[in-house]
Amino acid sequence: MQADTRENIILELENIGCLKRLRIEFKPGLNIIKAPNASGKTTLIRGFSCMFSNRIPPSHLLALDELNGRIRVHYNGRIYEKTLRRTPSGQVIAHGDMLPFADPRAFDACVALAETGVVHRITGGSSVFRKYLEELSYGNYYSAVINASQELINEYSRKLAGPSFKNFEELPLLLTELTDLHIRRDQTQQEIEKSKSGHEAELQGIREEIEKKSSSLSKEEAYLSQLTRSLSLEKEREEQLQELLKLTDGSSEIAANIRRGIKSSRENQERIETEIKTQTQLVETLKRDLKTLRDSLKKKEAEGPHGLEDLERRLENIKKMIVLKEEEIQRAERFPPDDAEYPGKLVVDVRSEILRKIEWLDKVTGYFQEKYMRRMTNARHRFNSNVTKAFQNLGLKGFENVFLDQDFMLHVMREGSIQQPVETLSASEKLTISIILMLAAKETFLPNFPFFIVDELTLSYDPERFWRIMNYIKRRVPYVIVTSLTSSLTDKPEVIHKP
Amino acid sequence: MSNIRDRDSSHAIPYIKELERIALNLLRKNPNNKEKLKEILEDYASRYAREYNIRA
Repeated sequence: MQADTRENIILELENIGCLKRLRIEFKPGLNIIKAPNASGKTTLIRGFSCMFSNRIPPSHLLALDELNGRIRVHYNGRIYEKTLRRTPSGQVIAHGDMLPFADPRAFDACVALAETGVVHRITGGSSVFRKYLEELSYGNYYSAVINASQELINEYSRKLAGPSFKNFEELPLLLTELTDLHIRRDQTQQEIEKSKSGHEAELQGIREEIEKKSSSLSKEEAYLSQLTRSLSLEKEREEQLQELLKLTDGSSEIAANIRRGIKSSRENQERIETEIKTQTQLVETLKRDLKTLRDSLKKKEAEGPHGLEDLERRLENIKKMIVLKEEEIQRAERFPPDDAEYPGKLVVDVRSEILRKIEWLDKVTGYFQEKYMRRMTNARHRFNSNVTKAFQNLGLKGFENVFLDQDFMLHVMREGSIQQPVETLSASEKLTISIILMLAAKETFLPNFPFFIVDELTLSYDPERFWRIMNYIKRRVPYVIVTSLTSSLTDKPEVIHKP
Repeated sequence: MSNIRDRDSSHAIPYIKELERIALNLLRKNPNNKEKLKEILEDYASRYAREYNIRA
């Protein structure tokens, strides 16, 4: 047998837990450490395990009232030593060798301490077993990369959802709004031009009307002057005729002609006076019209184009809005110069860079997920195969098989392929399954690790079944160490060796 | 199982083999060094973003 060809291993402990000084020898085969309660059995296991795993913190090893401690292992012709030192601040520092077969996973796969949650592992649900196999198969390295990658993707996604990038997403809308404002500005400018030219045309119309009326007035006034002159001449003529009439014989033909001339002159005067009256009225009307037109021109010139002020105010507002919109667009396009992360950079460039990063991280996540799945599926198959082998070889009464399904849920199959919920198993059955699963884990992931250690799990155990399992393990592992409670009076652990 | 085994997407992902080696070495030394792992991933992601932009 392989175990018989190996040499004895000596473990020396100094100031470890409650053990001041202890020297103990393990031989190939089964080593049963017997001691009463609180005499250092678990301390011994912990001390030894720190030579192949860092799972137990040094502060849990060194005796509370000591400054220094030591663990020494004689193995394969060499001495491996680890020293423990308490610093003035109370911290315990471990320094020294590890055994050549040291492996951080060994504590979980090869040391069945109550504190390692060996029973909890089978009652804790699928997540506990998944984590257990993850760590043993190094699947946790792949899940660590997946988680880190996912965290980065989330961080980048949160960044893209931040205000700077949110504004950038609104850029098309902002540009459309700016275009609308430019259109409104141009339209308002056109309206202003139209209003001004309309007003100017109106004024021009009035000016032309004034000119026309002025010209008419001049003409009519001239005609009126002419009529007035005609009337004066006519009156002078009548006066001359009256003078002439006085000089003539009243019954003469000449006098009769003069009288007819006077009559005609008076008729002319009446006609001219009537005409003067009409003409005067016309001139007055023209003057009034002209005044009205001039007043209107003055008023309209003073008023300016209708609604121009409103239009100019509107144009001013639109121009202000354009400035604000352009600033908003600039903010959406570029990070501010004092930005802590991307000072002055174009948002589109940074966004594109982040999207590229997410793209790559997505690919990385997919790649590691694939590897993780492959690794975990393989680990579970190998583990299940070793569990089945153990149950078949042990031939434990009542159990057909125990296995993990693809969701890492543990199934316990009773004879006749009847599934039994793990929680309904007896304490002894739970321990049996726990130890067999642990052995399967060791054989799957640490096949060359030379130890299998079981600490005080016999309390609620069926002794016959327990030793049957231990003997089975002994045939598969070079050194099996089992602690067992005894009522002996000795105060130090003793080793009983069963080759 | 065989389908999974046959699939290999590594050729499509730049620097993946290099990243895998570095990340696993880091985790082997300290499985809890999440920050350093993120730093490494970030460096490679930045490199990809840079080189992708140059190509584009």
